[in-house]
Amino acid sequence: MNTPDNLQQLFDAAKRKQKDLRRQQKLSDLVDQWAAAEAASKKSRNRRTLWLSMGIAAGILLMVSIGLRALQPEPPVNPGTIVAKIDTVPQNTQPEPSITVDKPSPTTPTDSFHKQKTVTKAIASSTAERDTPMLAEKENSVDGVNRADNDSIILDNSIEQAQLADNSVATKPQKTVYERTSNRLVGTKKTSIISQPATADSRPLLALTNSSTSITYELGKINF
Amino acid sequence: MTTDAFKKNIIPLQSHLQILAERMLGDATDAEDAVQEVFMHLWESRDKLDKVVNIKAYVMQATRARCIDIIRSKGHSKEFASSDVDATLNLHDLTEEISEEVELTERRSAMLHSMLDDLPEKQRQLIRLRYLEEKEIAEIEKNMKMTSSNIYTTISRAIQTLKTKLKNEYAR
Repeated sequence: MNTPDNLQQLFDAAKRKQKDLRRQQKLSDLVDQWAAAEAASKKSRNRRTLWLSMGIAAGILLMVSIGLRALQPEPPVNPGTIVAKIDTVPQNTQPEPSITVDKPSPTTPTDSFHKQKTVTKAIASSTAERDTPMLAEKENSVDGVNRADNDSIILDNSIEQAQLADNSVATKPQKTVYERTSNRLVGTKKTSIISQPATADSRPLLALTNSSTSITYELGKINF
Repeated sequence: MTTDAFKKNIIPLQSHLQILAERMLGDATDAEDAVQEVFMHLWESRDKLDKVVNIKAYVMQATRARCIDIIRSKGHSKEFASSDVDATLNLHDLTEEISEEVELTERRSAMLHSMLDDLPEKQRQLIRLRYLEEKEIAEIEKNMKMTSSNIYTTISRAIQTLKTKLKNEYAR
């Protein structure tokens, strides 16, 4: 089945045109795919860039925060706080562990340690002894001599006390010898008081936690 | 350049690029691959296309350069490469020639479709299947549920009608 040349040319042209249309449609589909892939890539890149930027910003903020904290001066010392270390206390002035604690003085403490002499009652080494009527009351003590009735307590060395700023009382430990006479006692009793446990109304000197170091330091300055 | 603008302005140039690539490479399939690669390059650099004054000349030049690369990479014979590449040196004239060829093809195709539209439905279908889609007679028998003798007879009548119409067309 032959077709004339002119008609054959028409068929060739129509076939070519048809092929070109198919190729162009294929290219159009490819362009759509390229555009979709490009959009997806751009979106992914934008998301990655966003996360990277957020990470960098967080890192910068962290570094700035650390830097500011490093540059920040130390907080000022509270004027009411005495800062010292116990290591600075001279060994020769450090008090002995046994300390006699007494009721704080009602007098107002001064800036420095208020050093005062007082006469404490004759403290027995045990509670049983304190219950005896021979014990003189502290209020009756004057100038280191107990004036209680029928009591004659002689302190060879009057106990020196230092009242601290927090109303605690530090007492220089020393061996105290009492001689007391009483109507009920016979003879002379010499008692050597090394220490006295803290009573209910007195505050233990070394039981303080935060202020113990400062107290101890100040104790080192006490000139008994 | 947007995607729609690319489809509207660049993709229709595929006919020109296909003719140029076929002339340079001598193979329709290789030419189609080369043109597709050129379009991919054009898509990636589509932002620059807005600044190009003569788009057709630009894409023809790109296609020519791509075909030369393919010729060199495939190790075509020196004679083939030199003759065909030299024929494309005057790209301006070649572009005009290809454009005329494309227009002629479109005119002839349009004329045939116009003539086919005047044919009876059966004849038109058989002509399309046999001469445009290049189907075998056996396949046409199966699709159209016609015997081969009927197919040949119907196609013969359709060709005769087309020849008459074509003669009348050229006689004007």
